[in-house]
Amino acid sequence: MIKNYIAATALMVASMTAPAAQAHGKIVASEPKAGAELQAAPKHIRLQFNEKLEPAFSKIGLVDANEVAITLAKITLDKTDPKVMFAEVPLLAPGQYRVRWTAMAHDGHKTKGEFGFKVK
Amino acid sequence: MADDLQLAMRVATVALNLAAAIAVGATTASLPLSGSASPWAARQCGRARLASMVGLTTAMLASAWLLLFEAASMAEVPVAQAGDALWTMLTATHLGAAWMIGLSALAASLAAAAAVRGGGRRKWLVPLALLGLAVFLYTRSMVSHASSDGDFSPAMLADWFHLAMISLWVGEVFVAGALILANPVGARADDGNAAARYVESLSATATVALAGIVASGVFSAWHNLGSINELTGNPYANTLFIKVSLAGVAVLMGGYNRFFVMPSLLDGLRRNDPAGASDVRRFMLILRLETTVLLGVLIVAAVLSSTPPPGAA
Repeated sequence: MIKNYIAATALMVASMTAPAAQAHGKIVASEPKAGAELQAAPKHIRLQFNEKLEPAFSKIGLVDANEVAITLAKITLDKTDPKVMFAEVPLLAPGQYRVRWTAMAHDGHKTKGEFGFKVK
Repeated sequence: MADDLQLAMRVATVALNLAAAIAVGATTASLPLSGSASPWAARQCGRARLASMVGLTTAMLASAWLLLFEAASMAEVPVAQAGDALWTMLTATHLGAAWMIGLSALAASLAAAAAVRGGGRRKWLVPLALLGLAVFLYTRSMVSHASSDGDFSPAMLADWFHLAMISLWVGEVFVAGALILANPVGARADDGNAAARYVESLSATATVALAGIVASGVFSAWHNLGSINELTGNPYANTLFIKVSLAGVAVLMGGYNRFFVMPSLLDGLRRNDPAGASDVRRFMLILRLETTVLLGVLIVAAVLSSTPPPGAA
């Protein structure tokens, strides 16, 4: 019986590591891509995450090289894929830009990130 | 402010998990104690019912605070200004929907626990109270890492079962050590037999809970095998190691009680041997030490649930 308990303990120790595989929201693809150098200004920003997003608390921000915020149209989730966040972008002048995003996943966890791109 | 809020959320999470576990443990403990002719058992049954109601009320309050902190954190505003965010959270998010279901389930469970009467009357309400708690625990899984595959996936079921079994284990060890066995067993033969029946039931359900924790954990491990390589050298892995180590210590304590203390304890209780009081004290002391270690597990688990796993941005 004691051996069973020790075996059960060892199994539990091994198995309780399981939740580590689940992730908080993170970007798996983006348009424009991080670090991209674009010939033409992008018409939209599209961020694809690994988890479903909560539109109420997920957002996209855009700043230029001088940290001046560029107003984006309404940020929406893709109707067919709630893992995708989307925003129309006004016409951008050539220069460096940074996208700053906040994502709230269904599990209530918030993640943030940013990446840059350049319009030639 | 963000650090204070993070700490407040962890405190509320620990309070919520502990209160729910106490409610599960106390409600379960009332089952073998009710309907006995023993005055000691009748008294303990009443105390268990009261502990269940206190646990449920505390869980409802902690749940409300947690939602408020969550709203403030998401909207990045001070708690005092989080009213609008709280409303948005309640009405427009998956987390808010799960929260409302969970709070309703806790309220239903509280109503059922309050309506049970002494002497085993309306005993059928006890399973209803446990059902309410089971629904509440499911809503906790709905807002955990396991919810990424949707609300009705095998991963969710495993997570919920894991949580329910851990709550049962923590709750009944806490209730037995701090409440039921802390009250000296009466001198009547009925009292000794009722106490022996309670200890046997405690041991059986704790063993089932442990088996359930292992089974659901093994399933999750199989489900998530891909990430095992990442389980070293990061804050998440270190926290997880502490949690698992503490849980292992608690299992060893429970095993010691089960195999080395319980046989003579049961024998003494059934024979109404006054010398058996020292066995009760030893059993209770280990339960209390186990409770302290399990409280540590709950605290580390709350830290873990708000720590991004490796590779998650």
